[in-house]
Amino acid sequence: LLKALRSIGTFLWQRGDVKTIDAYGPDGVAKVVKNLSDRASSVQSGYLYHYATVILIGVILIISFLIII
Amino acid sequence: MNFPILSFLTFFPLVGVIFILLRRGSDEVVERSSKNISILVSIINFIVSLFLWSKFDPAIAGFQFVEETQWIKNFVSYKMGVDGISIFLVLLTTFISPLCIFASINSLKKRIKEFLIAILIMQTFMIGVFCALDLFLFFLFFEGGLIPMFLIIGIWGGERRVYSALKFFLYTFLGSIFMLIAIIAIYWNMNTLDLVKLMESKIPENLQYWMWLGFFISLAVKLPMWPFHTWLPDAHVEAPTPGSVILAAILLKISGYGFIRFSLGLFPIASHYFANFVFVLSVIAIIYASFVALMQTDMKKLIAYSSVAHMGYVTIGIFSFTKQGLDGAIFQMISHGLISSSLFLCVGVLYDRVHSRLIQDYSGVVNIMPKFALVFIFSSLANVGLPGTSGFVGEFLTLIGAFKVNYIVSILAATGIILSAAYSLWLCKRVVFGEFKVNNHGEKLLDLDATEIVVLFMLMILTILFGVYPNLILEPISSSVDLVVKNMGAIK
Repeated sequence: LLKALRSIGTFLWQRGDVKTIDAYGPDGVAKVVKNLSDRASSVQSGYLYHYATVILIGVILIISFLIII
Repeated sequence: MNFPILSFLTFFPLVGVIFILLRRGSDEVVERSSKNISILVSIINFIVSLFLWSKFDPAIAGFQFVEETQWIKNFVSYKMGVDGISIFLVLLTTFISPLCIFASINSLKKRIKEFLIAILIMQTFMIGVFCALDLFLFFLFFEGGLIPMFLIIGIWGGERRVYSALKFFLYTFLGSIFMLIAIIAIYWNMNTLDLVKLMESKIPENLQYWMWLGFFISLAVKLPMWPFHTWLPDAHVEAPTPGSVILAAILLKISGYGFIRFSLGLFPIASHYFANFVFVLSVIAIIYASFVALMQTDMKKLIAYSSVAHMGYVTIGIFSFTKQGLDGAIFQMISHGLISSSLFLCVGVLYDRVHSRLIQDYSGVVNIMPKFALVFIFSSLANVGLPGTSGFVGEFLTLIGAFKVNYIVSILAATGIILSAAYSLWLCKRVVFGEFKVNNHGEKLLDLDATEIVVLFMLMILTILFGVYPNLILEPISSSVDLVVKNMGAIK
């Protein structure tokens, strides 16, 4: 019986808290946010023609939106 | 004009902070005077809170010592007051604070001045949170307390202090956002944030459910309830001993208080609607956290999980909406404040000497530290809920209250007592009894010194006193609890 109780305790701790609640909860969210920020920061390449392209796309989108509406 | 005793209690610690900041001289002189000032301020505050208790009229169910003045025009009033439910939480705060200061003087070695400032600021926020009668003011104190606690864990904590401090801060802060949104919604629908006015004027039913959920997420994270509990073991493990004591004894109680004051007080229909949901989470918390506590290798983590389980009884008692349940929940909060403080201080005593919290590093401590062993075993037994200690009264009353509304919940929750006996007694067996063996620095293992004896024995005496004569708490809270039960009964 004691062995079973200990196994339940270890299971709930390692599988429940560490690998489920923490992994998908605070740690998981933190990981996702970090990944997204890394990707977002890679957009900042420092090349002027990258920024100019993005501005151009933005202008086209705004004008198209205004024309359609 | 009456003396504003609640404002005095709340802000007097800040006067101590100003005096500490004004001290000039060598590091040694500043450190010594910081200790003296913080001890003096916290003891004066405790004495004033005893005076408050002596003047408190238990026959009055509503708020007493009310102070009110407009703060932000037509929006926020500075309104303070206490009733039977909050006065003992104020007393618990003013009682635990000097003990924490004594403990920190004993155990902390770096930046003591700054630490004492953080503790005093924390005291201001904690007393304020229990006295605030305006939702905005409550939220201000509720959130403000995060900052000194974040610093206490992040600066004076252990090896993984930054991870734990950030987890604690972001987790609880995220939860609080929902409460803030709920407060804003209440303001736009009711045109006031005055708690007394809101209690008198009924919040519309359809609004109650959403507001209840907003408050619930915030309070459930801070209590903490399963599955929002994982920040607590990390925070406790990394926090210095006085930080753990404040966290367990006072900070966790804010949520229990919040459930009674806001969930039951402002959203009674929604509270009835969600009661079974809370029961399920509470029962899971009790059984789940007890099982996890059983397998912990770190003493502080074990006590942290035990706290999660014990707070499960508090929520069961509150959402039973019975007099016994609510009496038990408030009693359990006070009792857990004393017992968990004692247990964390005991672990702190061992850590100060051996620098390890691992259970496997200790055995047969009773052979060298008999006085320590006495306190440790006593606190563990009180944590189990041994009759004659305050732990018994709290758990027993909450279970009686729960049995009246749902006997299955009561039976399931009662299994937690057996599990708590298992992990607490097993901890005692491994650490206290057996052949003497301490890994690393075992030669430094000395029994309790005079300060530790005073601090720990004071907690022990109160645990016995409330266990033998619970009416010391139950009588003064009676009228206020009756009012809550009556309001909840009227909804049914």
